[in-house]
Amino acid sequence: MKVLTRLNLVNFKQNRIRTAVTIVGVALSITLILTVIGIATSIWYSIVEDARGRYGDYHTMYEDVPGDKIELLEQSKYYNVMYYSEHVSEVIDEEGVKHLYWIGPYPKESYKVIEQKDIVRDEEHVYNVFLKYKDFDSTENDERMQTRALGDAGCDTVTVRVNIDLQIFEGDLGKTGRILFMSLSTLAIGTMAIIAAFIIRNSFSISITERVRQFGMLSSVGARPRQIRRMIYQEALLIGLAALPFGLLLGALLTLGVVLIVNNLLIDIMTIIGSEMLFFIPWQAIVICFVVGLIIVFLSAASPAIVASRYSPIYALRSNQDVKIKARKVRTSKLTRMIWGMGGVIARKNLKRSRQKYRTTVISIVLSVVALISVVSFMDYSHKIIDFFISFTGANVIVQGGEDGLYEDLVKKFDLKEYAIYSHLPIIHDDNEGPIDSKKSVLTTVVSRDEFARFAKNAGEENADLSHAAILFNTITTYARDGSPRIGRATSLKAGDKLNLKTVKYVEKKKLVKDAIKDGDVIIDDFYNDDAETTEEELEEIVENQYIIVYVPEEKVEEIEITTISEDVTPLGYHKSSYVLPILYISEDYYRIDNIFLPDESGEMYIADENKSDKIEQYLALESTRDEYGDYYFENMEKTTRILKNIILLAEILTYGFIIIVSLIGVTNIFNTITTNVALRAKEFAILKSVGMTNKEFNRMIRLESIMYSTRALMIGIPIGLLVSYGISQLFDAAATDFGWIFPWSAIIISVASVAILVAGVMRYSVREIKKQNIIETIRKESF
Amino acid sequence: MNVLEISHLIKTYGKGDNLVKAVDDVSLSVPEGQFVAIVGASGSGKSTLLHMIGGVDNPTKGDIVIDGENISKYNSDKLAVFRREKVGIIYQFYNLIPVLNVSENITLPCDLGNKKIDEEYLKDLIETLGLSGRVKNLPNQLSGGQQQRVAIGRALFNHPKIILADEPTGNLDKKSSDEIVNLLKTANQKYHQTVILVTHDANIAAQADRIITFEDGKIISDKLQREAISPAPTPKAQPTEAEEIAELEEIEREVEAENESSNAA
Repeated sequence: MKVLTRLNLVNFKQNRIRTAVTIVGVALSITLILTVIGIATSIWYSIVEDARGRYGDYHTMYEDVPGDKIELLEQSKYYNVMYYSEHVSEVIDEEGVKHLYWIGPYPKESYKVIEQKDIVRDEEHVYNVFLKYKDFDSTENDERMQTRALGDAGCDTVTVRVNIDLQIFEGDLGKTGRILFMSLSTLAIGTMAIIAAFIIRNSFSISITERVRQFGMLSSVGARPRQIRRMIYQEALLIGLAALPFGLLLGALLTLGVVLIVNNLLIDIMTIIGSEMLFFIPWQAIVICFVVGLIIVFLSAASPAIVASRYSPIYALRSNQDVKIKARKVRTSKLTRMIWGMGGVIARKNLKRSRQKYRTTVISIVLSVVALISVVSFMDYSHKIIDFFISFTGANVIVQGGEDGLYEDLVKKFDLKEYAIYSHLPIIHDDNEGPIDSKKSVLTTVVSRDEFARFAKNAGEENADLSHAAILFNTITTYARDGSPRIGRATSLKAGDKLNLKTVKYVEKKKLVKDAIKDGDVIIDDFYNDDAETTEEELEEIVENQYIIVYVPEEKVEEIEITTISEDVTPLGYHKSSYVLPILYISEDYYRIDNIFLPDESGEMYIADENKSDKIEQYLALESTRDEYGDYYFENMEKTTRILKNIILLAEILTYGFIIIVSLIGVTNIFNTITTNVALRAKEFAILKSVGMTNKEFNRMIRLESIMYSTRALMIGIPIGLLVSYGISQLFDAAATDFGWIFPWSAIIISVASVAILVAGVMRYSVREIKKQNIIETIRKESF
Repeated sequence: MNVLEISHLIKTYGKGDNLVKAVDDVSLSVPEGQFVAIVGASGSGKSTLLHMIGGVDNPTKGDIVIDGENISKYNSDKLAVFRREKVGIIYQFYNLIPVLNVSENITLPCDLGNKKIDEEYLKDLIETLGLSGRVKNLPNQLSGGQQQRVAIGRALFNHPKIILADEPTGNLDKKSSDEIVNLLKTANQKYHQTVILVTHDANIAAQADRIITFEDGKIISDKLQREAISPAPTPKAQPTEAEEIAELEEIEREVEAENESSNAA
C-alpha cells in the first residue's frame, strides 16, 4: 500500500467519530436528493401506469384502417404499432364505472374482453390501430404525413381516440415540459448539492486544520502540492464511496415510506391522479445520485485541498494558527467582562477568533431555522384556508339545481335532519326602474321553513311572524367595521326599510303540453329574462311532456319590509364574506302565501348531517338519479375537505421530512465543528485549569460559549424567518383571505429550543473527554 | 518556617511489569523565601515532582503540604482554587492564552477568582518584567523571551506562596535565559518569593540557594550552597527561533529545488 493512502486510513481510524459523522452527512445529502427524485419519478410513473391500465398502452388510435394498410404503419419510423382490434366500445355499468369491451387481441387483463381471438389481418376488414410515438418532436408533422400516406393508399383514417394522460406524461412533457422539468430538477438538485457541499466542506477543512503539521512534515520531506491535494481528494473519495450505498438505500427506503403513507393513510389523494401510488426509481436516478454524490464530496474537498497544498512547510510545521490572531479582531467590550466575568471574556474572544470556523455552522443553523419558520407559517395558512373553506358553508354536501322533488327525496331517503334549501331571486333594489344603487340593493334568497326558523332564532328574531319576516344579512357592514380595505361599500339599508320586489304570479310546475299554453303565458326558462313573452321559436324548442314552470304574467310589485338586520349569524351554507351585496332572507312561507316565486332550478340545498356525505355522493353519482332529476351539480364537501387535509398532511410530511434531513446534515457539521474546535483547544483549557480555573467556572465558560454561539445563529435566522413568514402572509392575503399575519411563535420556540439543546449537547459531549484528561499531560502533549 | 513539606511522595505510571516509578518515596521541605533548583537527567522525575507540587498532577501516594494545606487529598475544584491562590507555575513553552493580551494573561488567575486587580502592582510588575510597551499585545506578537516573561508575570501576580518553574529557559537563547533567571532571582529577592526551579542547565542551577539532584525518582543529593557559586562551563547556546526558521526555510528551498529539477527531468 502506498504510504499516503496508509496515512489516510490511519487518520480515518484516529478520527473515527468525525469520519463517521462526515459519512453520515454525505449519505444524508444523497438520501435527500434520491428521495426528491424518487418521489417525483414515482408520481410520474403512477400517473403513466394508471393511464395505461385505464385506457391502454397507446398514444393515439387510428380508426378503420384496412388490414393491408396496417403494414404501412408498422414500417413507420415514427410509430410503433402496439396492437389492433376489430372493435372496441366503452360501456358504463349501473354503478357508473366505465368498461372497455374488446374484440381482438389485447395485452392487458384489466379490460373486459368480450371476444378474444387471433385476428387474421385481411384486406376485407378494417381495424382500429393503436399507436405509440417513437419520437414526440416530430409528432405533428408526422401525423399529417401518415394520414396523407394512408389517404393516398385509399383509406380514410381519422384519429378517434387519444390517450391524453399518456400523451402528456410520455409525450408533451417530453417535448416542452421535460425540458422545464429537467431544468427545474437540475436546479433543485444543484442547489441541494451546493448546500450539502458547503456544509460538508467544513468537515474537510477541520480534518485538514488538524493535520496541518502532518502536511508540513510531508511537504518538508518532499511531498509535492499535487500529492497532498491528491491525498485529500482520496480521503474525499473514500468518504464518498462509504457514504453512497447508505445514502442510496435510505433514499429508496424514504421514497418507499412516502408511497406507503400515501397508499395507506392518504388514499383519498390518489383519487385525484390515479388508483394508487407506485414505487418507482429508475436506474438513471441512481446514477445521477451517484455522480452528484461524488461531485458533492469533491466540491467539498476542493478548497480545503488547495489550501492545504499551499501551506509552506515551515508554516505548517510551526502549526501556529494563532499567528493569525489580531488583537483588534478579538477585542471585547468591558461590558462583557462585567456581565459574564473572565469566563465570558474568554468564551467571547474564542468565538471571535474562530469566526470563520463557526461561520458554516452558523449558516447551517440559520438555514434550518429559516426553513422551519417559513414552512410552519406556510402550513399555518394552509390550515387556515382549509378551516375557512369548511366554515365557508358549514355544509357537508352541496347540491345545486336538479328538478323538483330531488331535495325532498334526499331528505326522505337519507333521513336528513340538518339541511337548508334555498331559492334565489334576482337582485332587487328600492327602485326597480332606475339604475342600481349598490347601497340600496340586496340579493334575495328564499329559505326553507325550518332553516329560516332556525336562522331567525339565531339572529334574535323570535316573536315576529316568520311567514312575513325578512332578515337582511349584512356582511358588508361587518367587514367595513373590521376595516378591511377590499370589501365593498356599506349598505345604507336598515331595519324597517321597505324594498320593492317585482314578482310574478306563481303557477304550479306542470308537464308541458304544447296545446295547454294559453296566449300570453310566460314560460320561464331563463332566470333573469322573466318578462319576455314566449316566442314561437321557444315553443318550437319545447319538447312535449317535459316539466316546465309556467307563470301567469300578472306582474305586481311586492313590498318587503326588512324586519331584522343580522351581522354575525349566517344561515347554513353561507359565509360572511361570500357576497358583495347584503342578502335578504325570506321564508318559503312568504312566497307561498304571497306568490313570490322563483323556479326550483336555481335552488340550492346544503346538508349538514354528518357521516352521510359519502352515501349521498354515491347516490347522486348514479346515472339513474341523474335520469330522474335532470341536471344538477353536487359536491361532497366532507370528501373535498378530507382530500385537502390529506394533501396538506402529505405536504407537511414531505416538507418537515426535508427540513429534518437538511437539519441533520447541519447537525453533522455542527458536531464536527464544535468537537474539533474544542479538541484543538484542549491545551488552552488545560492551561486555564492550571492557573486555577475550577470545573464549575469551566462549565460556565463552555455554557456561555454555547449561548453566544446559538444566540448569534438565532439572531440571524429568526428575523429572516419572520420576514419570509410575513411575505407568505402577504401572498395569502393577496389571494383574498383575511388572516393577517400569524406570528409563528411555535416555530420560534421550537427553533430556540432545538438549537439550544443541540449546541449545549454537542458542547457537553466535546468537553466530556477533556474533563477527564490530566492537565499536565495535555499541556505537554504538543507545543504551541 | 517551611512553606512546603513533602513526605513519602510516590508517583507511579503503568502496572505490573510496566510499572514505572517516576517519583519514588521522596520527602522534602522548603523554607519560605528559598530559591531551590532541582536538577537531573531527562526522565529522572524532577518535572513530575514539580507538577505534583503545583497541583496539576496527582500523587499516587504520600502528602504534599503547602502553607499548611495538605493538597494531596484535594478534589479537582479545591485544587483549582489552590492553584489560583497558592502557586504560580511557569512552563517551558510559556502556555499563554492566545486570545488574551499581555496584561489580561498576567491578571488571569486574579480574574478567575473575581478579585479586584491591584493596578499599581500590575504596573510595577509589567515594568519589572520589561513589558511596558507591550501591554496590549497578544502572545503571538511577542518573542519567546517576552512570552516567558508574561508567564512569569502571571505566576507572580497573585502573590503565590511558591513559584514553580519547569525548565523555563529550555526553549530560549542564552540572553533570554539570563533575563528569565534574573527575573526569578529578582522575584526571590524583591518580593521574598519562594522559587522552585527545574532545570538541566548546571549554570542556572548554580545561581540557586539550594540544589537538589534527582535520579530515577529519588533525591541523590541536596546541597545548600548560597555562598558556593562555582562557575560551570557555558553550554552550547541553543539556536534562536529566527535561526531555526531560517534553517527550515533553507530546507524548504532545497526540497523545492529538488522537486523542480525532478519535474524538469
